[in-house]
Amino acid sequence: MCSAERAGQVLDQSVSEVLETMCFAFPEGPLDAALAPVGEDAIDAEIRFCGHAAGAFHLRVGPQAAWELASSFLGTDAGELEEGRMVDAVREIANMICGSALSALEADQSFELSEPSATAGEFSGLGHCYALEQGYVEAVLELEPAEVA
Amino acid sequence: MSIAMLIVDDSPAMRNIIRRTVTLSGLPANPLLEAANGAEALELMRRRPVDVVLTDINMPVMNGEEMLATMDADEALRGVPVVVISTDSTEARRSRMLGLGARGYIRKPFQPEVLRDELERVLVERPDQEGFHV
Repeated sequence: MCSAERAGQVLDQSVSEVLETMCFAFPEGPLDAALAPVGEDAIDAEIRFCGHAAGAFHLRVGPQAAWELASSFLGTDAGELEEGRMVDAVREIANMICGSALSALEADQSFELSEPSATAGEFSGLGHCYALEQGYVEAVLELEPAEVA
Repeated sequence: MSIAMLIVDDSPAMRNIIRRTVTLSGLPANPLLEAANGAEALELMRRRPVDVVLTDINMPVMNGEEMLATMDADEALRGVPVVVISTDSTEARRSRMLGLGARGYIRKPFQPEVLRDELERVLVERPDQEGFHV
């Protein structure tokens, strides 16, 4: 499919494009993976995909950054947002980043995306961490082994 | 003049964004209806006519491709212009959706002016120019 370097560049571009266009947020990174949000408070979303490439995309956002992104995305004050709407917004952001990255990696092959859901269990793959004003966000592209050179 | 518009997306967040973008664009969208999948959209369109449909592709129950194919087979719905809004910007997908009868294709993420321009283009090109459904 592509080199890990190319996949990493595409991931960076997709994260920046979606967060800038839809949330007016300007991520800095990629940064040290140790800064990635962890713990039960982090909001995560998983999207599985298949097509020419198969695998999963994960987005994990620190709690404060999640409220910040969701309120910008929805054009609503964070204080007026319910948790369910915040989680739904983070999942839609993940959906856009995943679709944008796959479209760039597979320009001539369409793909199928699963409905975004909470991440089930641990995951690993090509992960990049980015800083936002109020925390960190981690994007991980998990491609099936044969897909990354 | 008002334009009866239907937003079809399984994500409430995305429906909210499209609704807000359309409202801020100044287009006279009224009513601005919503459906969570293709089946809901078809049911709604059979109850009341709409002037334009904005739809996602990946949805549970009935996806955007199935909805377009059903509309194409239904004489009453065949002429309703559909604009696809999708994260999938591959040429393969775009060609397939346009081949199924979609009149426009917008990739997510999108700038508000892209949505407005595409809607204006599609509405101007409507085969039925007799007026909109209020």
